[in-house]
Amino acid sequence: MNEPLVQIAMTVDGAPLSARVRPRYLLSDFLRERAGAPGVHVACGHGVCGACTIVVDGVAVRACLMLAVQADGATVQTIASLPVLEGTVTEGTGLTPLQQAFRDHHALQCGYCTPGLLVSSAKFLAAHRAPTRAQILDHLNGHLCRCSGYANIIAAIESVLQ
Amino acid sequence: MMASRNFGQRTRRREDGPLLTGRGVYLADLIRPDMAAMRVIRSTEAHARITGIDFSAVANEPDCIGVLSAADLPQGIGLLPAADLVEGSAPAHHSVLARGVVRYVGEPVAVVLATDPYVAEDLAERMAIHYDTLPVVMDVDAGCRAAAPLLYPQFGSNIVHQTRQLVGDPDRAFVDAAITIDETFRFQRVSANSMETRGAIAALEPGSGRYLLHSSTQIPQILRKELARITGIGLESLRVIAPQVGGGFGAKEAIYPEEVLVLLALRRFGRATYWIEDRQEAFIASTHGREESIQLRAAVGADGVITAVEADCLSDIGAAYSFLSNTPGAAVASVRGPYRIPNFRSRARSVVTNKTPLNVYRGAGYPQATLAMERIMDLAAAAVGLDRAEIRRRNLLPPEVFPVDRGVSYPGCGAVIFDSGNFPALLESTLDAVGYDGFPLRRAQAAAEIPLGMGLSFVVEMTGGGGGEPARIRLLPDGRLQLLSGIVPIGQGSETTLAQILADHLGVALETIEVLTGDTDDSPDAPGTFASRGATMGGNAACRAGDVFIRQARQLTAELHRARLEDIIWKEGVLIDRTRPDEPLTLGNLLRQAAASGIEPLRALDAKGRYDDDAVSWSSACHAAVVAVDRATGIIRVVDYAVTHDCGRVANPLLVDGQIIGGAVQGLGQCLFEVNRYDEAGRPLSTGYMDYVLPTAATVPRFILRHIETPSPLNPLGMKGAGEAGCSGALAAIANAIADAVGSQVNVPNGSGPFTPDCVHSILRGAHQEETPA
Amino acid sequence: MKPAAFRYTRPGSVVEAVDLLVTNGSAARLLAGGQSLMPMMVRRLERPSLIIDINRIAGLDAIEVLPTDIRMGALVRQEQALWSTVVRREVPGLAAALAWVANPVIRQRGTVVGNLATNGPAAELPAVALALGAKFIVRHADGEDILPAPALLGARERTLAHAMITHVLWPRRPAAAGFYEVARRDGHVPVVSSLVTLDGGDCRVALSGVCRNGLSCPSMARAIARRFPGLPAIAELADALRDDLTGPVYSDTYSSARYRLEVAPVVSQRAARLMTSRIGPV
Repeated sequence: MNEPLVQIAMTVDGAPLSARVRPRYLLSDFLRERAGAPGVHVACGHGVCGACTIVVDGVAVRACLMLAVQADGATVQTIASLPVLEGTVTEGTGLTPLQQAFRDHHALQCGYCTPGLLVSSAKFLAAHRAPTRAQILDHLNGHLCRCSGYANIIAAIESVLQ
Repeated sequence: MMASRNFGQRTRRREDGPLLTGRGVYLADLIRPDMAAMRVIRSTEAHARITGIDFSAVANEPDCIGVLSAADLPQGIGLLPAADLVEGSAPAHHSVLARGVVRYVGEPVAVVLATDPYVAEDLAERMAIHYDTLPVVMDVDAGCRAAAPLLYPQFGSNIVHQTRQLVGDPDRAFVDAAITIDETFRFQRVSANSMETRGAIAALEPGSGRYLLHSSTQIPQILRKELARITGIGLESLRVIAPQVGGGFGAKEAIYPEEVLVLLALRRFGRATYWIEDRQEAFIASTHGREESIQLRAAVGADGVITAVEADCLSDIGAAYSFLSNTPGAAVASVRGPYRIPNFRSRARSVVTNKTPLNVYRGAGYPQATLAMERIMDLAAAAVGLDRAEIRRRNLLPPEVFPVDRGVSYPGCGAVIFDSGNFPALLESTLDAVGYDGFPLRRAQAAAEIPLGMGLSFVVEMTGGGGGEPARIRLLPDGRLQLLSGIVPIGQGSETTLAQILADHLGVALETIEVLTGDTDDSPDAPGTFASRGATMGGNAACRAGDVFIRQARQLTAELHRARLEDIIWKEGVLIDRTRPDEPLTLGNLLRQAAASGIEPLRALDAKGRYDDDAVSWSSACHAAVVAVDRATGIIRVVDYAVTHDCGRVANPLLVDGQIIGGAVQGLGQCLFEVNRYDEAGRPLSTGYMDYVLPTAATVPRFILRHIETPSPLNPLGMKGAGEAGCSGALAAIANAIADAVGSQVNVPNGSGPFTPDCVHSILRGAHQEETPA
Repeated sequence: MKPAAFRYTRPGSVVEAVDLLVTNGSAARLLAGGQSLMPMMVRRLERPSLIIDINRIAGLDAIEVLPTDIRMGALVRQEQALWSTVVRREVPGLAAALAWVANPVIRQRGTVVGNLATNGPAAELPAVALALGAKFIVRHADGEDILPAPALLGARERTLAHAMITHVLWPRRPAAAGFYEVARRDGHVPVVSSLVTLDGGDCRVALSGVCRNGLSCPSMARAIARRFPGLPAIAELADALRDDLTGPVYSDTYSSARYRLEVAPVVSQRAARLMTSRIGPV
């Protein structure tokens, strides 16, 4: 089929980018393939697992449920922007508080679900300074991890809250 | 083994840096824009004759790079192997593209290559495959009947494999038994569901002209050997690399059609080709796990001592013998677990059905066998009026009898000989951890509408094996050491663990060791990552290579200093000439001195070692689960979960705990949520995560983890594997807890459920049928 | 799992959007949050030839206080509505239900109107709209209609042709509200869910997952109002439910009709208990 291309422009992790894309090109694929953001991971492709979570114009969203054309004019942030999203890194390691906590608590194993989980958690903690355990679990309901069994992820997030 | 500075420490992982920052390099990250995207056209029928494959709508499309079907495969090319066939197995040759007959929904029939995956999917839709349907076999009982339709008429039966075990005189024991218990347990079909799906990329290596395959696989070395033969490419012309793998759990431990097909497509169309499995595809294209039934009879004395057990296992291995499809059922040879039970008979049969092929999945049959035995334990306790912990005490093998030859063996494991263990200590520790003695009071205080139950389980599990393990150590120009290991990182932290082990063995700082994995050029003979063998086998191999390296370093030093080899000692990464003790030589200085003398130090210091003892060691664990059952809604929560785990000497307890928790939650997922169902026509009903429910953080219990170490006498490090016992005990502990919660008056179906709300609700009302009515 | 090809357009106004719907008919689909439509499209179960992306239409993301209603535009996100002080005060039943819908990231993109328009089986919000007497403002080529919720969500629902829902109107009714849900797993798709609100003697009960479409349950509501501040027994609620059914009981592969029918009174009773204890959402 002849698919007319659409001109789009956006910033991704602080870098401006423009491209001509097919309308059906998924934002997840665009970020991975054209925007130099392979840290956006596709695990389920239908919005349930959360591995592809990114931030578009300040809101955490599933990249696999958006079209690249929908991000035209937007500010997009992926895992690479985590220091900006959290606002701080540790001198020396260059890791953000969440990244440091995940490492300390062994909250990742294969690492595939981790970038989306970190982005989503950074936004969640920015919006909820003192969440209840129920709210933390509601947030984590949006993320599937098959390796870790979650206990260490919960511990890592709770440690950042202290 | 020298100073123990790192071994046993909760060392944080070196792997984490790139993974936390999104810089891990997984298979899909290696795709280049010039590559062709391959899409597999899969059978939509469970059992049918292919009467026509019509490419005409797509073959001449400008976007279509090529199409392949079975007719395009040269004779003898593209036949998949089965590794665990033994005497008495039916022959198994499965073509990577269906020849004439399809036997499961999802079976590859053709492939199409296009410039990108969107277009490939468009083209695939427009190919027409015509079928004449055949009668389907959708369960093992139907498959075993005399008049059953045969998936492979040339076999004469749907029962394609059988193993038997016999120890002692079980018939006698049954005659003498005070009580006989006879139960049949059913285990549903599940999928491993690693978060990274499968994928493969075939390209030509610039310069060498070799075929280079990247695959998200646990077994790159075995894969290379098999692919070299299956494709006809030959070993010398093929290199296989496993990049960072996003979880495997056994489903990436097979030789898959797509791995063959990308290579054949490259060969045929001259273009680097990739295939990425999508999630919907994964449910039908990646191997399934667990589906079997186990009938277990136990001869029980009035004192609760079980004198005999007889097991009959029927595994539903799906439509084809995949690489290790026999192992899950064969594990029933170990059904007696930690219990003495001197008389034993078992039969394990594999039955083909029109479903996705079955392969190993975390625990490889042990979760099922453990549930059957542990459920019988609870039933026996009730039958003779004994406490559930006490009946286990009376049956456990005591520590003084090790090593214990169980009198059975099975393919992939060999003889079952428990090397070491302390089962009574595991039991007492877990009872304490979960609050067993205080539980009656806790149960009495729980609301009547949300009763609590507690379940115990014991698992003894084979780890290691797979054949000898190589390792290689090279000196880097900056004086650091590089370990090349055949263990593939699939999330278990092998690089960190191996570095810890080797650092201690050599007496050097942890940071001086770099670990490389996954490339068959570096580690061509290694078996790969499965059966929880990584740390044990890889660690011992690293130490062997370390010994070779030390000797090489001493020899080089002796040569340079014209000293006697016996006068050169290695001490914590430094070489000391006894005759000149004030002039210790670092590796960096050794490098410089060698170079100045015209010796190539990097060639002289390249140590290959091998740990050749492939003996299997036996990890063990005692689990206890506490569940709460909401009687009104049928919803079950696992509240507490205690595990005391023995994997011999533990290199990194932080990582071992992570394996136990991850495994236990997979078991929880199977008990409460997960199932791959088929309809009567053989169409799969799980197509995504709206159908197939995985556990999330909200479902996770409070964990109480403890360790006991009974070192394995079988390897110098005294280690055993830790990857699977968390999963293998969980089905049993949770199933026992559920039965305990609902009470003995309620008929709970035997097996791992899943115990969905509807299922539990109908169980409580005595209205349960085998399948949840739709 | 890549969508089939389509043309894409991003109208700047409702008039343009409706024009496109009229011209293209059922081959076009409106795209708002995409949390329901995109999963269908990547599986190629939906294959529109034109996607009309309404996300940039100004003014549709407002939550406005009118004399008797709260007017919520088609681009109001679920998370936005959940945390809106206006919604929590004036339409507490909606806020109570939203806390149970999916998870925060889905809610941040998914819209209230989109969820209602999709009207998935067992979805929480359509029943809530029926029970609370919501209305839809629908724009078509010749003007605007106000449709009561049953017209689009009830047992005899009709599909909107050549028209677009621009707003949903929620009657202002500060009330005590309680919501409860059972699912195969916490946070997974709902099996049965129920809202109970009480404002003086006016009790509303919404029930999802028992019939294919959501139910407003006046008989169950009367039973609850009658017993307040106590709670009716399960059997009493089950009896009342029989009067409120509008069609056959729903079932799917994992949760049977029998289960749904038996667990529904339990769910409503728990929602009523939550309402009675005045525990708000989250």
